[in-house]
Amino acid sequence: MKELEKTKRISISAVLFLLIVTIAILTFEKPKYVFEKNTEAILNEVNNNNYILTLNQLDSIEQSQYQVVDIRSNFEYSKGHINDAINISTHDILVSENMDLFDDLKENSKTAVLYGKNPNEANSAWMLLYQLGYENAKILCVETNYIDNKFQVSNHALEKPAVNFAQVIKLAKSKSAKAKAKPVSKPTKSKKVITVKKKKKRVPEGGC
Amino acid sequence: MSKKYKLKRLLVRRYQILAAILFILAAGLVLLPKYKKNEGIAPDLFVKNIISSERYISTDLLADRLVNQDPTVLLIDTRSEKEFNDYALPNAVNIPLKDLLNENFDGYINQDVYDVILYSNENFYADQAWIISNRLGYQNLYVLKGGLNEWFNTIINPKMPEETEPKEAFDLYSFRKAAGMYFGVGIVKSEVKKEIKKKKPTRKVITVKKKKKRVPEGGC
Repeated sequence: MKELEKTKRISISAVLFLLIVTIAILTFEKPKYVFEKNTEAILNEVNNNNYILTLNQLDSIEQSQYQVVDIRSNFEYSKGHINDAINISTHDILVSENMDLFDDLKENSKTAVLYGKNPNEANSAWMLLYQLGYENAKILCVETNYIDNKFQVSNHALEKPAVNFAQVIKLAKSKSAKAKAKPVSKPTKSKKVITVKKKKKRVPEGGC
Repeated sequence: MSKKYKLKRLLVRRYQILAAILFILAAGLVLLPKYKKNEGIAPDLFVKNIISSERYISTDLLADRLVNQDPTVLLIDTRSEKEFNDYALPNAVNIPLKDLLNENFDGYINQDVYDVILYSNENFYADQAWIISNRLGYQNLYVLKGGLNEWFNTIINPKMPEETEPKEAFDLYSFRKAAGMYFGVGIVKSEVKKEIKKKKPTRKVITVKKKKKRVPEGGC
């Protein structure tokens, strides 16, 4: 009798174990998207400036070799956009239809040319795509504006210092030093003024 | 009778059957497709982070924190070493973008004591550094909005507001002027001039009075 109970327990626990294993297998969900590149790879890519396209470079590529993608919001896109551009805003990139589109571009070895308000905005989308394994994505280095009901695209000088910082600071410091030195020299000028006035004082005396 | 007999035979062999099932499952584990490991955070979360503008800190806010000597601020210059040596913000640490994942610099970026503020000439390189660090799950990282160019346009060389602008614009302007002086650009020229002008009239007035005194003397 005792032995029977023992075997029962063993079989019950074994069945439970199997049940847990099957449940685990059934509920396991594969993540939809996985980064294919590690951070080392993206850092390397960032440092060799291959991912930047200027307007001139874009013109030299054949039209069938690339697809322009506007990564701004739909609202901005509807106001104006580059000809033949399609609109996929950054937060919609992971939507499966858009991923299919990027897959298509990758298979046909077409370049996905990303642009936004400025290169910085396109950079986020580019880094996301590159890390997902889409090496055919590139950033169009332009600024886009909407002025006077017209959509304007202009080249953007990337990471160019506006002024020579060191020089400006040096100049400003020397100016302030001069400004400090000036009060010392000016008292002599004011003395001259006083002597001139003394002359005037003597003129009325002579008049008398 | 035969049914009962079959069941009995099966029950006798139940351990072997269970063991066989477990073996099959174990073999199945080997055959499972290779699970791609994701380094850092998942892409879904990553997208949410990169479209958020929370990472940007304005130049005015940074200047305020530096002037008040906030001890939690740690500035990191992501430009090249040469540019860093030419000019850098006070107490900044130079981590060129290409050396971002260098082990020596890991202590600066992966920590939770300081508010690390990344900057470059614009915010393009700083943003790239931020995005890579964010993927690795590092916290407390910020990007200086507009970078050094914006810093120069606002703090070092602020634009005088128009007369018609609200009082806040003038307050901001005077704050920026003061902050600029704090960062070593003492543009005190205009103030010195005013002092000299004030001195001149007082002296003239005094001498004019003396003239009047002497004129009556001569007249006598």
